[in-house]
Amino acid sequence: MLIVAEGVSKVYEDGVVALKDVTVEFKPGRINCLLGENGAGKSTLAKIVAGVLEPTRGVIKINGREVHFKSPRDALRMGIGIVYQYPSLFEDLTVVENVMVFSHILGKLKGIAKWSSLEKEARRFEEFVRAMGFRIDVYRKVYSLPANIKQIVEILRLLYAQMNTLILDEATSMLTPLETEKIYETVCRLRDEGRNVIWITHKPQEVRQICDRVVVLRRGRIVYTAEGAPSTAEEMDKIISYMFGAEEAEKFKQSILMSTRQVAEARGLQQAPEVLVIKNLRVRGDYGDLKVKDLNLVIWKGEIVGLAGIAGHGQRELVEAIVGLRKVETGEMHLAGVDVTKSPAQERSKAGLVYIPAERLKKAVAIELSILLNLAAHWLNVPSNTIKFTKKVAGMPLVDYEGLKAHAVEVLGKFNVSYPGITAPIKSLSGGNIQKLVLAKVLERDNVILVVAEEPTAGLDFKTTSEVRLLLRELSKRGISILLVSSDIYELLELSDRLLVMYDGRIVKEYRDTASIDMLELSKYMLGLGARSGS
Amino acid sequence: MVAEKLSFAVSGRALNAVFIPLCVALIVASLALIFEISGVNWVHGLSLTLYYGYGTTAFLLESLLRSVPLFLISIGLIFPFTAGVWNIGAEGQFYIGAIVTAGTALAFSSLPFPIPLVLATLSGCLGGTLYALIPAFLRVKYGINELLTSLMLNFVAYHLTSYLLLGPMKNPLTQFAETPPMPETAVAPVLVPSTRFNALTVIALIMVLASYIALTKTRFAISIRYMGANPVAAQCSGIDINRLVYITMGISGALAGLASAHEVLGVIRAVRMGISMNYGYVAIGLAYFGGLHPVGAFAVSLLAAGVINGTLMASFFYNIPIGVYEVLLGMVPLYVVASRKIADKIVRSLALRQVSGVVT
Repeated sequence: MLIVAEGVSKVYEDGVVALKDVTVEFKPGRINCLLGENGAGKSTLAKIVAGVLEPTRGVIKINGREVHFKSPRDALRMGIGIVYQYPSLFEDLTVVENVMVFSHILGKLKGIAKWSSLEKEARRFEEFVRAMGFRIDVYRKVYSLPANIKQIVEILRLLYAQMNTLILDEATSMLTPLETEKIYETVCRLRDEGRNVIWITHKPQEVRQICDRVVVLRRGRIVYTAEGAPSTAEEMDKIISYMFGAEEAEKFKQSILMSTRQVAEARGLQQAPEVLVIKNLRVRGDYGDLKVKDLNLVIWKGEIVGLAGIAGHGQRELVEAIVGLRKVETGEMHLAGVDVTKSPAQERSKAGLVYIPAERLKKAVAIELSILLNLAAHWLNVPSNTIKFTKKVAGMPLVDYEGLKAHAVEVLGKFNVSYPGITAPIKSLSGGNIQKLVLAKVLERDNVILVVAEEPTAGLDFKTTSEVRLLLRELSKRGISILLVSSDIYELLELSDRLLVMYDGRIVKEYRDTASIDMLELSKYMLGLGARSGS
Repeated sequence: MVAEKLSFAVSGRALNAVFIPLCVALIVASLALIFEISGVNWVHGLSLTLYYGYGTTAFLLESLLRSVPLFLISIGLIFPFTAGVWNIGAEGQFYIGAIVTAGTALAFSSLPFPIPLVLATLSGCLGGTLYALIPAFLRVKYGINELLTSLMLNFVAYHLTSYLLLGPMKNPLTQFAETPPMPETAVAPVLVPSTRFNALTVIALIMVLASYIALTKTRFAISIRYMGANPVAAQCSGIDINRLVYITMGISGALAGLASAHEVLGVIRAVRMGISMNYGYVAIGLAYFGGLHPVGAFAVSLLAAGVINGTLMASFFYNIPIGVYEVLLGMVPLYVVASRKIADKIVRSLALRQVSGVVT
């Protein structure tokens, strides 16, 4: 199926111009890689093709015929399916029920679903899953599945429905290296069958490995297209320079060099005072099931501890318990020698614990409020020697807005945040800038002792990613400890002084030397196939 | 900086420029419609309303007086609403405040002049506060939705008042459900002769200023706005949200209590069953109509009070049902929500059309 976007523009309601007159062809029998930095318009283009969004101008043509999708259902019925970065399944339904709902949407199942047809469908889907080389219990409720399985279910669901065109928007973000390989294989097979694949990614190794055609978007326009995967470093550099513009790309390359050098320097520090001590911690998940099971953990001053593991094995619950957003069932937690097992989040924050959550928009900022207010709320409520923004007017302690503004502008400059104005709402910033703002907000204090960073670079482009990683490295050099939870193995390997692997609520492996880790072994531990070594 | 953004500002000012006239027009139009339906020429009805609402200094003062409970309660509600705490219980807090005020005034009536007044006013505030802290406590301690508990407590307060006014606190000299008149030592002195503009009215006006400062210039203001916009982020920013639930609920209860003290000691000088003309509910709409800003709430309360007084007089003269203003005030929240949405759509699409010509 040949998909052509002709002169497509998209202006969002808030005035963001996501696409400007984009004309591009997606030919069948290829893996079309869509590249670009954050906010370049990749996801917008994908959503327009998938019928999620309507273009402001321009048309989509399929096999030469103009189509006007009113909803994703229209696109699905034409055989165009999309998988998003974050799973979008019905959490309270089982896997097979999700598959059936999908069949209903496609119009393949008519009328009321019967139990007998559910069983038949379950068997068929199970067989299909096995044929694809995966093992999934199709009768499990989706919420009880780890994130990688959810993502696999979503991809397989589309394949099972015999979609003609697959749009994968960073669809391997939660998978282990082993699983990602399998998905690569599957996608390549589909390509060979003559189907159309649109692959959106940030990861350079993915581009090298599977892409047949590179399409680079920059600021809403197509700036580069090429047939075939980039095979040499120069070709890759060229793509990067198209993504960021020549000047920015140069900076980016330098920062990569710098960060590797610093990693080499930083290894070897250890056995400083204990910053965080966790003993026999048990924490329950949202559905009352035990998610963290008798976990022990020590973090020393100034080290970066990486926590690897497939999402859904208790990392989120562990992090929430550490920062004080989730109740601890049993066990103890000490922060810099003080028992904080029962203290609420705001007290831990005041004691120097900083949380950089994965769900930034939900947990780290108030998107409707201004940049200034977001910074002020934090700065005014955590004690610090350097930040005091009150002035006395007639004996009343009022907020010194002028001082706040000046300080905010200075800090945002230091952290390299681009923003339209200090009173603009957070939602007017791009994802990368929001993350930098979150960092600027929480790190501009002099009493930080522990940073809990959860997926700190998820969804960020190459450049911002390396900025964030450099910053974390910098912090640990200043003696601040970091607990880094990430599903990006390469990030963990690049940054961690010590790497822990979490599986089923426990720490099953500790690597003290992160320079020589066998990836296959690591994957096995993440999948629960390695021998238990305890922690 | 990647995504290009058409710089068009949907400024609050532009939004209000559409929103306020639209909302006022809707209110006036429905008032006119109500008059027409009741068989009164709408021009006459409206002009009479306007005259008796704001036409002379005396009428204006009377409307100001009427607006006191409205603006005190609605300004009080701005605190919890900004923090995302839903206090629907101002009506109950008002009744409890009234009962406590009257009880204190009667109990200490023998003391010399300002003491019973001061004591009764303060205990009225305290009564409202404590009553508002019940749903706050239930929310913080057990996670029970304060919207339901505060609403339900209104009925408890109403029927408790009804019991007291017909039983232990009943005026033995009349047949009505009311307390004996407030003792002279507890009545707020009148400041403008031949009106009911009294000392507590002045306190109420001072509260507008105090709330304005508290809600715009302080760290507290930033904290509750942040909490209202994102409670999780607020916690991680060192904000004790449980404490703020207590504080904001307490403030709104205290102001509801002060409102009832003003009515009991300054205006009616007794507690009767109809002492609150649904003030606690009407104020919810007014708080939003005023844009959750104390000055805005004050202005719309004055507007509403004028409409209440004007229509009351108009219905008296034209012999039409007295509930005209109730119908109208019931519609206000609907109008506010609807016109805000409409204004947002209009302004946004106008601004976007203006700039999107640049693209392609």
